Amino acid sequence: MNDQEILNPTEPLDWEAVGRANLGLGERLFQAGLSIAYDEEGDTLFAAIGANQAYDAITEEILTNVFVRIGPASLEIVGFIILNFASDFLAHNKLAMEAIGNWFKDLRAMGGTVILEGSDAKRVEALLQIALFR
Amino acid sequence: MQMHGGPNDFVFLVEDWKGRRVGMSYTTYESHRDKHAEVPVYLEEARQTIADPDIVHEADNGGVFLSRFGLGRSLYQGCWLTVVVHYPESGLGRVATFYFARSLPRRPVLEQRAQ
Repeated sequence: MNDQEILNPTEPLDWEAVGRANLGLGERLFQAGLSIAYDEEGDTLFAAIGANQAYDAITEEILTNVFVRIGPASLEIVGFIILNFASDFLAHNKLAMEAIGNWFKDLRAMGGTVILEGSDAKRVEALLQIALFR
Repeated sequence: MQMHGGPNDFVFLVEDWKGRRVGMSYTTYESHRDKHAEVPVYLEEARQTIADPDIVHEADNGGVFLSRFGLGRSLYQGCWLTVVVHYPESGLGRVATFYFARSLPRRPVLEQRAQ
């Protein structure tokens, strides 16, 4: 028995149910936009659907250092967290840069909004702008 | 508990399970506050997790994921509280974020402290 079996008595997240709950994710992004904050000290990027909305969410790692935030009851995706954002994610991952660029481009083409919040967000604005306008 | 300030002002300071000082700065807290509803509510539980984690997983850049089970209420029952801490070469350890999860980090286990 490994440590996960000893220590994890919870049922794993039902990712199929998460998928079903997020069929309207694109529409929600279009309607509410995406707000982004960057904490330079922790080198952590926070993205949330909509502005000025604090969500309760469980957080699961979907790629190394990339976490999705999911409403515990609704199973709707409400945001993302990216650890080591400037030092690793953007700096060393051209594929991720391209994916972000395409994602932002699609969002903007749909008329969605991207809001950079706070002074720390401004510090990575140049990196984000590269992604935004690729 | 100070709830305003800059990167050298802390919403909490605590000794981790190895006796090292760890803080969550106000600027880091502020990055969470308007997006993550659970963060202002579970500051004390994050402190407890840092001081006495059930399990420690390796993170990048010399950091750790500290996880403790059973601290969540209501929506977070049955979840792990995980705190991500970075340890700079000098000075305090810094909380990068903390969150509730249904699963433990898929990272190498550094230390298992509770069964």
